[in-house]
Amino acid sequence: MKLIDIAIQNIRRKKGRTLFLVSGLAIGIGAAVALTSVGDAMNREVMHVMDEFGANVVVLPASEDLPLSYGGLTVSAVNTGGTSLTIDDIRKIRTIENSANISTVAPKLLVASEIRGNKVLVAGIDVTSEFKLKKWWRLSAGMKPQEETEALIGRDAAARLGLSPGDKIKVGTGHLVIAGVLDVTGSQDDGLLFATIGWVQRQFKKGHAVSLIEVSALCSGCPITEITEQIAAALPGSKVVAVKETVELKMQAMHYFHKFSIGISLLLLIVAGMIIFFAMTAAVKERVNEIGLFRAIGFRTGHIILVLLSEAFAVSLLAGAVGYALGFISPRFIAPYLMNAYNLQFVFDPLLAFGALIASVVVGLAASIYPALRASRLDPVEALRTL
Amino acid sequence: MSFIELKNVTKTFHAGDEDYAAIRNVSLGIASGEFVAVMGPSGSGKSTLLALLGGLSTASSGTVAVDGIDLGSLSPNRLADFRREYLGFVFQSFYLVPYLTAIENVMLPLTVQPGLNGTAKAVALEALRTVGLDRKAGRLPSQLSGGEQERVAIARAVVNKPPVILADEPTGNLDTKTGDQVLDLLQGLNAAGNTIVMVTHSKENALRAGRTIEIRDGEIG
Repeated sequence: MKLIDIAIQNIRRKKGRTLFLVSGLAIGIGAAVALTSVGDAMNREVMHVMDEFGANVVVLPASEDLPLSYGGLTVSAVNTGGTSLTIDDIRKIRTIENSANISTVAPKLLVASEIRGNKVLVAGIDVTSEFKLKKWWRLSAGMKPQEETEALIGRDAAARLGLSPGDKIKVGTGHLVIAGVLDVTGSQDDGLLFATIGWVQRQFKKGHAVSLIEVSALCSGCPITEITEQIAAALPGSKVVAVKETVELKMQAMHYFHKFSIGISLLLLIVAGMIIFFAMTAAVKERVNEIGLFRAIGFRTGHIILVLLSEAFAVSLLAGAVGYALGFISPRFIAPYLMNAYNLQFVFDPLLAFGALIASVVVGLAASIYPALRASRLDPVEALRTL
Repeated sequence: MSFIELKNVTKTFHAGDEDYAAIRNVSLGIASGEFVAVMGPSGSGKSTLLALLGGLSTASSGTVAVDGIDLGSLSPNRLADFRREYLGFVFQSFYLVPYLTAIENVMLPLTVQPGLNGTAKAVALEALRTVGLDRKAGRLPSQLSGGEQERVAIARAVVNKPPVILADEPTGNLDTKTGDQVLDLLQGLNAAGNTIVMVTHSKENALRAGRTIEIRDGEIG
C-alpha cells in the first residue's frame, strides 16, 4: 500500500462523500461548459441568421449605359453593348474557391416600364432567393407568386396604381396578375413591381441578361475580401462591391456576443470555485481525526498533504469529466425549453473538454491546498482529542 | 541514564487568562524492556504524560529524552520520524481508519517507512497473525468486534517493530475477558523485549505491569 492508495480507498469506500464532492464540482464545471456550449451554438446560430440577413456583396456590370438607381447603387437598366451580367454568372459565383461561404445569390433585372399611365421600375427577381435574402419582407395582402405570370408589388406602388391582389395588369407586351402586396419596407422596394426574372427577360427581350446580382456571404470568420476578389476573378469586367457596413455590423455583433459568453462563463467558474472551496474545507475538517492518527504513527506534514491533494486531484479529475459530460449533453434537452432555441447545433470541442478537465483540477487543488496545509499542521493531541 | 527519561518536566496549558499545569516538575526514568503502568484518577495528567513521552506534545519546561534523543530539540517532521521509528501507540478508542481494511490499517505506518520494497503486506500479515487476526485481514473495522479492533490496533502499533509501546487505557472499551486477552498480548510483547508504558484506571491491569507509577494532580506520588 502506498500513500496514494489511502486516498483511493477513501474515494472508493466513502461513496456518499465522494458523490457529494464530485457533484458539487461537476455541477459548477457542467454549468460553465453548458453556458460556453450554448454561447457558442447561439453565436453560430446568430451569425448564421445574420449572414442570411441582407446582401454583403453586390455584383454589377461595368457598362456605360444610362443608369438606374437600386438600393443606393447605380445600375445599368439596358445594356447596349460592352459587358453584361447573365444568369450563367450565378453558376460562376457558386463555383468560386470560397463557395461554401456563399449563402444566397439573388439576381435582378431592372427595367423601366409604364403601367396604367405611370412610370414604374420593374424588377425581375428569383422569388425564393429574394425572400431568403430579404428576411424583413412581409406581405400585407395576398401571397407569394406561385406562377411565372404572377407578381408582387410594393405598398406605395400598389397605392399609386390602385392595385390589390388578383388584379391583372399589362406590363410591356404581356400581362401579370398581382399575387401579393409587400408590407412597407421603408426602402425603394415600396415603389417597385416584382416579377419573375425569366418573365421580365422574355417580355423585355433581354435574353439572359441581369442588371445586378446580390450575394449573401456567410460572414463567420468573414473572408469577405477574398470572396470579393474571387467573384471579380470569376466575372471579369464586372464590378464587385463589398457592402462594408453590413460586414462590420455582423463582426461587431459577433464580438459582443462572444464577450458576453466569456463573462458569464467566468462568473460561473468563480461561483463553482467557491462552492468547491467550502466543500473541500468541510471534507478535510471531517478527516481531522484521521490526520491526528497519521501524525501519531509517524506521517510527516508532506505525507499528509500528499494524501489529501491526491484525493482532491482524483475527485477533481472525475468531476471534470462528469461536469463536461453534463455540460455537453444538458443543453440539448434544456435549451429548447428555456430559450425557445430548437435549431441550436452543439458540436464536440476537444479544447473545451480539455479546458474543463484542467479547470476542474486547478479549481479542486486550489480549493484544497489551504485546508490541506492547515490539516498537516494540526497539533496531533488536539486532533486525537476530536476522535 | 534510562532508556526513557523525564527531567523536571512541567506541562502547562492556557485556559483563557489562566495557566493550568497538567504535569508539575516530574522526573522519571524507565529502563529498556520495562512494563510500566501509570495510574491515577481522571484529570490527574496520565494522558498528558503519555503525550509527552510520545512526542505528541512538548514540555513547557524540563527535558524528555528517549534513547538519548531530546524530544524538545526535534522539528515537527523529525518528531514524526522519531515516532515512526521508536513508538507504537495503542489507544482506548482503537482509532482505526474506517475505510481501510484490517491489513490496510496495519500497513499504515509502513506506507511512510522507507526500504520495505514490496514486503509491507507480508510484514503486516505477520503482525496480524501475532494477534490472531490474519484470517480477518480483509475486513473493515465495522465488521470486527471491539476486541478484534483493539488487536488490529496493537498489530498496527508493533508492525514497524518499535522498541516502545505506549498504551492509553487499552482495555477501557472492552469486556473483562477481551481485556485480559489484550493484556496477554501486551505482556507477550514485553516478554519479547518491548518497553511498554500503559495508562490505566484498573488496579488489576496495573498488576500485569512490572512497575506502577501513581500520578495525582500532575505530580508523581
